Order: sequence, then structure tokens, then C-alpha cells
Amino acid sequence: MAACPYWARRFNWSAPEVPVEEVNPNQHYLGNRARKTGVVEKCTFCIHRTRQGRLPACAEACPTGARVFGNLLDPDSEIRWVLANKRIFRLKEDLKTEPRFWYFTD
Amino acid sequence: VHLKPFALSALESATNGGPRYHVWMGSLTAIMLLGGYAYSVQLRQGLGVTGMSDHVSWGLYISNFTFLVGLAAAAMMLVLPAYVLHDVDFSRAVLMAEAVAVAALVMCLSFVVVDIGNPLAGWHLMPIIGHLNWPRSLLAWDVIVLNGYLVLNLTIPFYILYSRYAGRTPDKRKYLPLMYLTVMWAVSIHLVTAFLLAGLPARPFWNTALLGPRFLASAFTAGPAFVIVLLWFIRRETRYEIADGAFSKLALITTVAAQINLVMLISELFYKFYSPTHHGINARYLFLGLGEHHALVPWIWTAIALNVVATGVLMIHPLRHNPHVLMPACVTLFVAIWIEKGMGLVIPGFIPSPLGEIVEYVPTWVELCVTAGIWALGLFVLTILVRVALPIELGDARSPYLEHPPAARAVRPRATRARYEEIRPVRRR
Repeated sequence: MAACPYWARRFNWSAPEVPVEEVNPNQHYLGNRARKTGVVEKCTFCIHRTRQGRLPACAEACPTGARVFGNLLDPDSEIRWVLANKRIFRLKEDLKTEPRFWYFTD
Repeated sequence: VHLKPFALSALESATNGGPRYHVWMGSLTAIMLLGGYAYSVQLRQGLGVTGMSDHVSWGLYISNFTFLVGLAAAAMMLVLPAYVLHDVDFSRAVLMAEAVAVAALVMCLSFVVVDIGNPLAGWHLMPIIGHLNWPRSLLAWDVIVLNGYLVLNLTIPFYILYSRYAGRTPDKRKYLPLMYLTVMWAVSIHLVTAFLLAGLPARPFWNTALLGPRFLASAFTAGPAFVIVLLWFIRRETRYEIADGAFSKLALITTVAAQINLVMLISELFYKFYSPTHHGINARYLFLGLGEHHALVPWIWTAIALNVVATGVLMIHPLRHNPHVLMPACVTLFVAIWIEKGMGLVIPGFIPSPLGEIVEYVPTWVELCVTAGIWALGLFVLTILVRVALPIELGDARSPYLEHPPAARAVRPRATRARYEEIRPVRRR
């Protein structure tokens, strides 16, 4: 929380509540489920969009194509091509948590 | 083994006292209960009842934590002159300093626990059942150094007091190596805590090489200042004699450290304000305020004024040797460092945020009550430790077994015991 410069981490200071009129009913069952009090919320990669074959909102909005999202199980997908052909790394790989989030450079 | 009478006599010294003692302990208990109630509110409703937010995610709790780590470290640094320089009139101060270190650590650990959103997840830190991410995580280092320091500061006084209680002279070969280790450990707890803050490149206010040394300098000011007041109180209220030399040496340490701290403050101000860059904006918020946002400005200038006045007074020799000036000066310095190393250090690191938003922070009643409760807990622990140590140090509390050995236990040979004694007789007193 204190280290993140982007204000990307949100902490559940109290029991999370969304006003009824602001609830987006167009959601996946596993997406945007509020977590409990006292923990940090995390990204679901917009599961409600990706299960319909669409990109996560951040990847769709990105004007430079810096973000690549795709199905790792599909050998013909763009993400597999990036992982096979670009210079890539993962954060704290040695912890063996197998994060499905890679950074690549051109 | 004198453990049982030792525990009983410790309990007796801690629970008996005059009416003033009971009023003191009773008031502390009342404040602790109030803090406990406030903490129960926080546990039920979450950290949202505090003034903290996603922008300012460290508040009054962590501010007190950083200050108290310094107090714990500095109290123990007094050991250095007493044992390394063989300064005898200083050594009586050391046990009290260790009691201060233990009390400060109890407060530190409590402040960390109340700042955790989900304290029940604490078992994740324990090796084997959880995973302590050591040596990569700086927080894991902090857990280790703080708990190790607490163990060291409990072990050494226990050994010394227990030996005296049992009528033996404490063996220097046993506790001196531990003492040396503790002194070095004291530096480490404060440096590691400073590195926790200094290691965040997104927070330029803390991201400076001066932070660690400045932590040490301010700790050496506040720690001895607190010990001076405590020793002065003990000397006034009990028969425990503390030589004037101890006071003048402690006062000298405090004064020199306060001077170094001011020099570092000046160099920090020069660095931030002479050729200001965007990274100095947090310091601007702290010292001058940004537009209508200036919650911390009166705080920090109060601290600087108190610091300068108290340091100036202590630099004049006749004033420093006069207890009627020394005591208020020490209290003033203590308060000044508490502001400077607490709210004055932690909060401005978050304001404005790296993206430029300004969200100010004001503690709520829950935070104030919990904080008061933890301070009461620390003073409670300190009082008990001093109350237990004093009669043993004065020679009033001695094991009853020294005059009347517990005969019943010695003449009851069990089968295994008898066989063992045939090989190597057990030596009895």
C-alpha cells in the first residue's frame, strides 16, 4: 500500500458497500465480488468481459498496445507468441507462485 | 531452584504499594480499558473507523511505532558506557534502561498489531506453518530484529536479577557477550525501521540516505531524556541511589545527540528548499503547507521550537547540572522528538500522493483512544518491571531458600534419581 506510487492498491477500510444504483448487473459470478474488511482488493482481469471473449477494459483502452491479454492454453494466441519471441520476465519468480503476469520489452 | 519464590516475590512487589501507586496503576488500567474498547470497535468495523485512507495509509499508529523503536534502541545504548568503558556509577542506570526498552518494545509490537487490517492472518508469518519471506522482505527483517531485541532485553535483566535474588553474583562471562550483542542489535532495530521507509522510491520524502542516521540521532536524544526523568523519579521516591555522575553523563549524551539532530534538520531543510525540485513538495507541505492544506505546519514548527529551546538550554553547563532545568528540558525534548519522528515524519510522506492528489489526515477518536491505551500499557509494564527490579537491587528481596533450604524435596529419592546419584552425586548447597 505505502510503496505503490500509482494508487493502484485499494484497501477495504470497512465492509465494502456499493450503492444499489451503482451496481453493474452485467457481471460475472466470480468478478467484482467485494472481498472482506481488512484486506487489499485485487484485479480480476475483468472476468465478466473475458469470459465473453472480450479484452479486459484496461487492455481495450490502452492507446499504444502495451498490454497483451490472451489464452495461454491456445498455442496460436498473441500472448503465446509474445512469450515465445520477446524478452520477458516475471516479478519474484523465485517465490514459485507462478504469477500469470509477464513484463516484456521490445 | 528459586523460581517459585522469585515469581511470588515479583508478584508481591508488583502488587503492593502506597495509595499513590494504586491510583497510578488504576488510572493506567482505566485508560487501557478505554483503549481496549476503542480497539474492539475497530476490530468489528474495520480500519475505516480510523482517519487513514488509501492515500494516507499510515497514521498515528505507525507514527508512534517509529518513535518508540527509537526509544527502545536508545535506552539500551546506555549500556555502552556502563560496560564497555567500565563506568561503575552508570551501571545502576542500565537495568532501568532495559526496563524502558522492554516497555517501548511492548508498545511497538502493539502499535503494529493494531495497524494490521486482518490481525488473525499473523500466523502466515510463522515459519513452517506459514512463510516468513526472509531475507528478501524488509518487513521480515523488522519482525526478526524487534522480537530478537525483546528476547535479549528480557533475558539479561532476568539473569542478573535472578542471580542476585538467589544470592549469587551474576557471572560476567555469561551476560557480557549478550550485552555486546544487544548494543549492536539496538542500532539494527532502528536502522532497519528507517530502511523500511527509506527504501520506497515512490516516496521522496523518506527516500534519503540521511533518514537512517537521523533516526539514530533523534533516538539518542529522546531515549536518554526519558531515562533521565525516570531515574530522577526513582531517586526521589526510593532509597535506590543513583550517582550525580550518571545524570551528568546522560545529560551530556542527550545534549550532543540533540545538537547532531538539529544539524541534520538544517541540512535536510537546505537540501529541500535551497534548490527545490518536485521531490521536495512533501517537505513543502510539512513546513509551509500547500495552499489551504497545512494541517501539519503548526505541529512541526512546535516541534522545531521545542527542540531548539531545549537544546539551547542544555548547552549551557550550569543549567544542565540543575535538575530543575534538566527535567523540564528533557520532557520538552521528548515531546519534540515524538512529534518530529512521529506524525512529522510519517504523514507528510503520503501528502501529496505521487500522482499529486492531496488528501489530509486527522486521527479519529478511535485512534486517539487506542494510542492512549497502548501508551498506558507501556507505562504499566515499565512500572511493574521497575517495581520488581528495585527490591532485588536494594537487597530487600532475597530467596527464602537461602536461609531455609526446602528440605522436603531433597530427601525424597526416586528410583531413577538414586541410580543417577550413584554415578555422579548431585551437589547441594
